[in-house]
Amino acid sequence: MSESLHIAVTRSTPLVRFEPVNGKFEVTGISTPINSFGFYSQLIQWLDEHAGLITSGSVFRFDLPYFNSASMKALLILLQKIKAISDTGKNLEIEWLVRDEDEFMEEAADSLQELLGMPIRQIRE
Amino acid sequence: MIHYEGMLDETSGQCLMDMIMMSSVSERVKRKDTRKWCALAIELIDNAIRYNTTDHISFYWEMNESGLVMRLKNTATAKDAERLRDSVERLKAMTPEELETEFRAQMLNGEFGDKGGAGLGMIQIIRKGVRSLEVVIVRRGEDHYICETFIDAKPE
Repeated sequence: MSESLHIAVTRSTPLVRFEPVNGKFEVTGISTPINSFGFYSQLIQWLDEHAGLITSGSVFRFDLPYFNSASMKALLILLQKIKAISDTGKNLEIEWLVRDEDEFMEEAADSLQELLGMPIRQIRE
Repeated sequence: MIHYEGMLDETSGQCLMDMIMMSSVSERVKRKDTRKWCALAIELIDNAIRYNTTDHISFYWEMNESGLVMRLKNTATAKDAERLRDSVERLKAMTPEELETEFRAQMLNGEFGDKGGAGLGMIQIIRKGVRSLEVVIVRRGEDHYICETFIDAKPE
């Protein structure tokens, strides 16, 4: 368990569950913290320190009902970290949940994918 | 319709955002517009939480078949109020292509302000096509401004 990262959900920050042993990495919930980078830097630091544990086939799943633009920028930095790990030869997948044909979320995923230069698979629910 | 006068901190701001998001499930307005409008309301409230110099705001939100009217009044320092007004005027003068370039530049610079802002809120509002955004600032003291933000948007 010490090699996992679990952060409980709050009113303005998502649940985080990074479990390299299962290849599952989830960020789930509303993201509107005032210090968005402060929140996401915990995840980025964890990835820096545990990149060696992340195996090919791992899936990073983002299910964010809504978020502020500062979170979007911080998420891009997190995604760039994931891409950097992927670029070392690991086959990683990024999934982005889109509910109810939510165009805002689709556009956010499209923008992030374009800026990142790595596929983000949109999962429609 | 939501009309709120009172304290604004991260907790009460989150409550307002939650109420606004709840309104996006309304069947009375086109989904595409409601979701976009909710997102920009969140940006304005987020901005007010960061820059408000007192703990009080006035917020009005009315969304129906004919569009959205939103008004947010908060206090700010002279520097922040003038920066917001000038930034909105500058962004509104940009073409869609210039806005996209500005959005990319802000997203990729990796920078966050002293108050945690990413420099993206107003870009996102105008980039999403809401050019009716207006900012009026009124000086009330040496370093104390009332900052009033209006949106009057019509459905696409």
